Amino acid sequence: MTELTRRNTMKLMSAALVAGVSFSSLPRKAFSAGTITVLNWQGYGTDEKWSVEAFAAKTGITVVHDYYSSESEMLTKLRTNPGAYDLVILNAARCAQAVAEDLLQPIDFSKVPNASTVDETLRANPNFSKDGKGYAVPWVWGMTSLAIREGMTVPDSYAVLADPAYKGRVAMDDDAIINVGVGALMSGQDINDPKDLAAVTAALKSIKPNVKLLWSTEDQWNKSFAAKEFDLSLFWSGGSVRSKRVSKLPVQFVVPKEGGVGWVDGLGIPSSAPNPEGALAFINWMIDPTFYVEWATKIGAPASSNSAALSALPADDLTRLVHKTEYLKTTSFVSGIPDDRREAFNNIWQEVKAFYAE
Amino acid sequence: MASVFHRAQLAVPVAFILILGCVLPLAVLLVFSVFEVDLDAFTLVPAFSGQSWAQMFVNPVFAFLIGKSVVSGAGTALLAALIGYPIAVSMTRLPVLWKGIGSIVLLTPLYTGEIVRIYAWRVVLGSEGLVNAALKWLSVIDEPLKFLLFSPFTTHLVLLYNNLPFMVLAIWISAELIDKRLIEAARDLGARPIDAFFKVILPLTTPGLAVGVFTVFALAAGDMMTPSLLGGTSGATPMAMIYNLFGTAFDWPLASALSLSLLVVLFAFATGFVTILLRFDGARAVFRRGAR
Repeated sequence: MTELTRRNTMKLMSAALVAGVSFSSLPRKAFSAGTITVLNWQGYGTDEKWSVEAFAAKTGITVVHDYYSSESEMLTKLRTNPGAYDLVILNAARCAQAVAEDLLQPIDFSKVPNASTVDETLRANPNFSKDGKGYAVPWVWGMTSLAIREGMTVPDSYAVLADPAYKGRVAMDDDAIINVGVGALMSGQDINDPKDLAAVTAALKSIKPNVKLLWSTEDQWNKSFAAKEFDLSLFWSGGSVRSKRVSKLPVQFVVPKEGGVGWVDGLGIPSSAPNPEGALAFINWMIDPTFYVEWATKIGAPASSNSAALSALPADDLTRLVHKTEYLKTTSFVSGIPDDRREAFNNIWQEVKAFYAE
Repeated sequence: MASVFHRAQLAVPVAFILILGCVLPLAVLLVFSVFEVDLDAFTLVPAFSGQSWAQMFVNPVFAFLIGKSVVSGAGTALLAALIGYPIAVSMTRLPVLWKGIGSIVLLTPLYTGEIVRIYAWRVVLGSEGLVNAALKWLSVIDEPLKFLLFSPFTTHLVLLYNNLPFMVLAIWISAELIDKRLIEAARDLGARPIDAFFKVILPLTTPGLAVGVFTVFALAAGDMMTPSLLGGTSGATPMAMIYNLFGTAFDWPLASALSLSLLVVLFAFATGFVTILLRFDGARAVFRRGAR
């Protein structure tokens, strides 16, 4: 038998300490059937205190959170922590990649009753499915399109960006994917795979005389719009709602005939989730009209994928007015873009920016 | 017995800090510049690839942006020298109290954050800003002057405003060190004020001018915030591109290659400017005096 000397006692204590530290540094696992661990951006819907408490009261399931600060970090966490998460919020553009790497499991839609009223266009997004199986439930969506000063002629096409009437009165979003997408729409191409990149470049270069500034943050956009530095811009749908609601700016969001450049976030269950049943219940709650109306009206939220939830908003609600479900028919959603194409898109935008600066 | 420190030994701590804070990060950038990127896995793949460096020479965008940065830095340094020199020299003639007040006036803007200053300029120069409002009120204009904000004019005006104190301080310190008897001697020997300036004051202040030019050139050429937030479409800079490549685009090898290219070009130009300035006889005399 090992003698309990001071040295052995110290060894035992050290081992216990190391084990304790190692254990506490692991992502918090869902150890009981009554707990789920959600991986998301911080402050993005799932971790609203009132919502988590309401869900716990309703189902007896405790919701624990872990956060990521970039999509690359999210994928890394899924890859390196099997069994750590029950639910992950991920963009459609990243979902296809996660599915290809077997990081997600198919969703049993029969256990998500609220999914029956999720818009069909969003459910059919190819990034969320593989071999006829759905791997994520569309949660919220939004888009980039045109924002114009109220009282001005409402444009019906992105061609307005090159209209001489707006000389020096246009602001563009300083984002390669968005701008190449708009350039693709202007030249009648697929935003995710434009074949004629020269036409995209030419379309973006054609608006040079009109472009006054390139904005990169919502705050920058708001300040410049308030100072009347521009009248027409590419802008986010959610941003236009906040600008009008919070900053009281006279902005009108317009989706032209070519459609918007859309994004959609989905709720997926990792393949190694310890509590998939609890995750399905939480997914159902996340697209529930009760939760969504509270989130959208009290805090502010993107558009719900659930048309029933969106319709439950007051008729004059800005989120509802800006995100009309008919826009989904024409909106092109950003997909996962291969390395070489992403690099080409970045190169185009850098070239166009340098051209603007000449 | 007390150990005798050689000059070389005294330089060890400084050398250590320089290696740790400057040489090592540059070495890391050099290594990254030959790596490749796997965007699916969001990882850098160790490889010996010259792809990023090839881009520096093949893609005209990089040369254009680096050139733009050099021109911007040189232009700001030249204007700062032309405006700052008379201010600095005249400050040496002020009484002590006024010198103190002058230095406070000079340095106060630097105590406010760069973002605060940028937004202050936007308030002053905007379409509905103070300048346009005043000109409208005076019936000088009917429509706001658009070039005042989000234009190359704005960028260079604010770069000059931000960096002028560094130029003035550098020249002022240099001018303060001039032995006033040298100027008196020149006058006694029949030199006109203009001759005294070109033969005595200017040569003896060239070290300060060189420091000012080097500092202002580096700060103006390397500024990202001012062109981005005030330059409008003219605000494209290598720094903004590096920021984008390290961030959104996740192209660290290209960002590293661009960073090093920019560093080499800016350093070469800055060194060139300073070398030219220090070829003045007066500058050599100052350094010889300092070495004694």
